[in-house]
Amino acid sequence: MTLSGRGLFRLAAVLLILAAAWAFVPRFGTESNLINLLRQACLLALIAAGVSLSMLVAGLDLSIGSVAALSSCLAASLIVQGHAVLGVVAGLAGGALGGMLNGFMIAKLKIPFFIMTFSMMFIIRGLAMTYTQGTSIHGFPPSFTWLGKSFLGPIPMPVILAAAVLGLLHLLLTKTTFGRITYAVGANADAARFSGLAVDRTLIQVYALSGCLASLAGLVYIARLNAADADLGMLWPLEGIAVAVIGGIAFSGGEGNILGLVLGGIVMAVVGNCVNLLGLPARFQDFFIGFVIILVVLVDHIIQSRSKAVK
Amino acid sequence: MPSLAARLRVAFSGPIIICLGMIVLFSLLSENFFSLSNAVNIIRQASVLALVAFGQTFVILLAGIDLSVGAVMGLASCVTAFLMLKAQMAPVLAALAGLGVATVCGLVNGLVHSLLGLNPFVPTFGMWGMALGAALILTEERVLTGFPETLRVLHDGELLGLPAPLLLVAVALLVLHGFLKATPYGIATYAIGGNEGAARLSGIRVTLHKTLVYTFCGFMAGVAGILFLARSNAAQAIDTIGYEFDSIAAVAVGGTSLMGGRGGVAQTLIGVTLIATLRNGLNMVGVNLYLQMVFIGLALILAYVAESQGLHQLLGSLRRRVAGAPASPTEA
Repeated sequence: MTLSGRGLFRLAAVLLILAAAWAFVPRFGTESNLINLLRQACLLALIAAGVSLSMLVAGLDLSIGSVAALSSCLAASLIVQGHAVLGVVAGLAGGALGGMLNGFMIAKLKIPFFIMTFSMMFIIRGLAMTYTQGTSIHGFPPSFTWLGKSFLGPIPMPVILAAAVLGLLHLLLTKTTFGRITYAVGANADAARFSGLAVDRTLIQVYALSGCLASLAGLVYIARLNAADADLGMLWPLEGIAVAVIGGIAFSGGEGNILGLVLGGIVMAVVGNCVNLLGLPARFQDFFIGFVIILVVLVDHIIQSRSKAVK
Repeated sequence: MPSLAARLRVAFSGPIIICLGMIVLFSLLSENFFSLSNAVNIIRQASVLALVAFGQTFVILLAGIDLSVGAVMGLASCVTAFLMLKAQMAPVLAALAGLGVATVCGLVNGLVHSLLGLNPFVPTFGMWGMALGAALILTEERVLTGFPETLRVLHDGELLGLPAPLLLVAVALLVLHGFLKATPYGIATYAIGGNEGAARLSGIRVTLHKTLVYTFCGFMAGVAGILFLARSNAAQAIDTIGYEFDSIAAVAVGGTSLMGGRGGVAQTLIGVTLIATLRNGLNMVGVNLYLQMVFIGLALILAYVAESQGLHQLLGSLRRRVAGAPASPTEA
């Protein structure tokens, strides 16, 4: 996939934002801040990976934050007992299971995705809250916290993880049959069905993968915080959508490159980082995220309609 | 033309039977549930939900959805409280300002959605974040209290022995029902939800109409937010988060089609009663707020499945699948 006009536009916009932040925000360019920024950007890209997959099939997974919360809390209670590997596996499996349920209901029972995943957002959050009873689970062994806290050379572990996951996803989407079908389903599900592609199965797989990626992000997050609670990831669907939209994943499905999430992650991390460095309270972030979503969608629409008019 | 009784039976039978069943169940499970004071309590609780769900009904009749209403309600109540408290504004003016802000939120939703032709959950979810963020910024994440109690009359007042919120809902119901069924604009709402292309070709100004409906939904969220403020006498940005969920559930459970074009505010009132009774009953039985979310989410999914497929069809297709018969290739 070559860098199209829109891709170049995005890259230029991101560089511009970085340059502006570097120039105008004090302490932005320090090494520790940049590493912090990179870690934050990668976590955001991980959070957005699941949402992006569902967007590629012209759907949307609003339940990722809740799925991450429940599966991390379940995993956490295993991990504090010393079963780090078992906990991680159980967490990922739990996420995949939740996603699979989404996919099954959407594909087989034809429930509109926003009704299904919106309901699941509340159902699973409710289960997570009930499970933890409002307490937080903390005190993980180092065999688990390295996921979020350790470094490989100067590079934080979440960055390496995110790079690996996004790289694998990119390969999966561009080099395998599964990837081709995913894009085909997103571009036109009916056409894909009539060409004999297993649309339903692909939808279920995509949503399962989305849930699994959400729990991975949740696990990295709790490993970094060294604590898990049921409030985790309330805003993740919103942040994930923002990152994906900035990264160039189209809401209409079938279009977008998963590596674009890195750009999206950087933009959102810079926004959050500057809000912090400028001494604005964290509550400004919600506002900016919502604003950025609407803004990017608008700009995108204008560019697209221009390029269509040229053709 | 079917008789009125037959039409009522078709429109209301399912939700009403479930509602009556729940009342019997909760009455058996909790001794305090079946009492006049609790009924009045449910009505007061349901009134906020009814108002916001009426607005949501219009949007859903267009085959749209508004995920921002909970946050917009919070913003309206926070703006009102802020103006009364910090700017010493007269309560009525402050409430009007709150309503204005909510209406503008709806207008933005409508413009972004209808002009761009985007699926409405994108702009409305973005608006959710913006309205919540704006309310948090305005209140500095604190609870605003200690303003004049003038607005309380909206919630505590009585006229002819009837609670004020009940009257408010009744008036809204009559006006909106009449509007939907008997005016060209109401009919246009159904037409757009039923088949947008056909509606456009028959001369309905679809873009304008959609924008106005989303604006109206924002306005109703504002009204509900102010009633919520009148009830709790305190404003907090996150208190009303969740009403987007309850309102969509109430509309769907009541029997308005999420695919648009079928339903109405009368059905929504039944749905609201059902959700409010469910919440109240679960409370009485001692089920916590979080598990209530689970139950309402399940109710929403079930309502959709029951409405779109018919439960018997669903069971039939499951049986076929279990029996191993091939799925028909044209299922879409």
